[in-house]
Amino acid sequence: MPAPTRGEIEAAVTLPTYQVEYWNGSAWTAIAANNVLDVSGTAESAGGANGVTFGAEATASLTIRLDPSCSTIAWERTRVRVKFSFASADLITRATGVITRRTRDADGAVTWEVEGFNEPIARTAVYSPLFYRRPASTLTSATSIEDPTNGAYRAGLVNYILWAAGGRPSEQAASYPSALFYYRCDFAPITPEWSWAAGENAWDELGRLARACGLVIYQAADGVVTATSALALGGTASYTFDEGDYEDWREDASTGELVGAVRCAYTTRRLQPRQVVYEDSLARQIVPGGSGTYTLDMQQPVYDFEITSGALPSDAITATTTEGKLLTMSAAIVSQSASRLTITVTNPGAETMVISRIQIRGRPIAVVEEGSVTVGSGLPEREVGSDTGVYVQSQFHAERLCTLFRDLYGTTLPTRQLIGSGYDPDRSVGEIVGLTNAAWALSAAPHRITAIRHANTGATMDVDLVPSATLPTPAGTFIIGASYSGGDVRLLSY
Amino acid sequence: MASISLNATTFYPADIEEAPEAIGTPIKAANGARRFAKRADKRVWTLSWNRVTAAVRAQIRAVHALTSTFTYIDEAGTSFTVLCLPGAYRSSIGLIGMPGGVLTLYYNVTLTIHEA
Repeated sequence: MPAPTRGEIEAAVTLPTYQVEYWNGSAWTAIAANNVLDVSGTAESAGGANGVTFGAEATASLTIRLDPSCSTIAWERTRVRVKFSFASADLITRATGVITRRTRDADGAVTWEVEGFNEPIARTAVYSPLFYRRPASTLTSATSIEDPTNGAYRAGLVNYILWAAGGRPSEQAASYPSALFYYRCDFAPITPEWSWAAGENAWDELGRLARACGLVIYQAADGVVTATSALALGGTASYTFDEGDYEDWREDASTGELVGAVRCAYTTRRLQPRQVVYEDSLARQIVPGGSGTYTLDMQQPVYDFEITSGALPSDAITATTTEGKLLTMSAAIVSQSASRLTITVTNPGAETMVISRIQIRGRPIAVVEEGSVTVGSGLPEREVGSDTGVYVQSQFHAERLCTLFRDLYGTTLPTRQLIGSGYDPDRSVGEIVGLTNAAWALSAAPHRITAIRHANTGATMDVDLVPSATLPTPAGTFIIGASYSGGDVRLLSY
Repeated sequence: MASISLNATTFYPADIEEAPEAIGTPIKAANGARRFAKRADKRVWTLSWNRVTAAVRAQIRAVHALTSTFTYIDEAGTSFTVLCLPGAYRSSIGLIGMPGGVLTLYYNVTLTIHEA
């Protein structure tokens, strides 16, 4: 069957259809239509007062009411997806996530509260190697190498975190049919000197990375976790909302994000010569024939460890028998990342072994300089580097980030809400659409969809829009990874 | 008097009122255009009996008390799967008779059934 046509979607009498499915551990299982009482939810493309704030603030949510027969379905962190369509056309996935809460009414009706994939991402502890001058996110494609265990891996830290959290590139979905979620990334416009993940809340880490490097990370309507470049927030409208599409409208503009001057602090880190990066003298006993696995957390991120043939050098482990006889031991590497090393020590002897000291050498990166830059003038002056973690590491990076903020937030962008539209499965958050409204003297004015709130099980929706005419577009700048001809004239990006 | 069947019991209601019910969500645009997101067309029947005995009233009440859907066969012989919603049953005393000096009550009964 084909996708729903515009005629079916815009008919005076539409025939909306729906399907709720859950992942039973091996396959998607449909819940009978008669057992679904109501579905509503929200997908956002960005947070903040202006709706285009950098970061990973936007989330998706879904509320599904079911009849009592569904109370036996195992719900905890179960993946669900909701498909909508019209008439006899193909059902299209328009909302997905994991169930994080279930309530039941006195009459037995079940309600599933579903969060977007930010929830499982946040629960994942990701430890990465140090990436040097690697774009925070790199373009995903059908052939991009996204598996960090591949020796040719060159993807960015955003890709790394999303992969580690169970995501797989949407362009390669056919190769990963049972992935937890799919992701799609642009090249980030700004590249940090050094980037790494150290096991903290991975969604928060994505947010810091996105704020530092000019990315907006959100879950698209089809469930794909999307990292969009700040240079790709604008564009050309593909559809226009007019007064025949929505019942009511309102606007909310705030100076909360408006900037005059932009200030950003930076902390420069440099690669240091080989030195001791970890040392402890905890007593560890290993019985004869036994082994011990130890996780060692570094004080500073380490670019590379002194490792030979998959093992630490023999002087890294100081071990004796219980009678004090010195032993020569080696430790095998189980896993390594910039901030954590896991080793296994085996006692092949006939006596109990006591490890009295572990000393690891490597090349760490360390803070060598701190500074601050200000771009622009006037009030308000806004600090943008305070929630960018460790990623702003040079004056050049700070200046570029400030310039990007000033260009995006130098003008107040109102959020315009269209209320009471018929549901349109062709619309998605992040899409550029036109808006016609005689009361506001708007005629096909370009806007970016920043939120879609669907209700009545795919019958109606409200839409949030932000004017996009002043936002940068990919067509206006040179972007890493794109091809250009000799005559192209564009801005040199940020 | 037409005969119908409710859950395999034959009845002879005095009136059968049928009303179509379009189920969905109405949408009204800012320019006044009206749309309707339609889920289904269903029917609602209101069945009325005048001056029936307590025994017939009990049969009708038993239909109303069913805890699952049941089959309704209309006066033309067409079958539908139906159910009763809260408030579907109404009964009042239609006539008090004294045949042979014995007090007898006759009832007016209304039952509303919805297509499932």
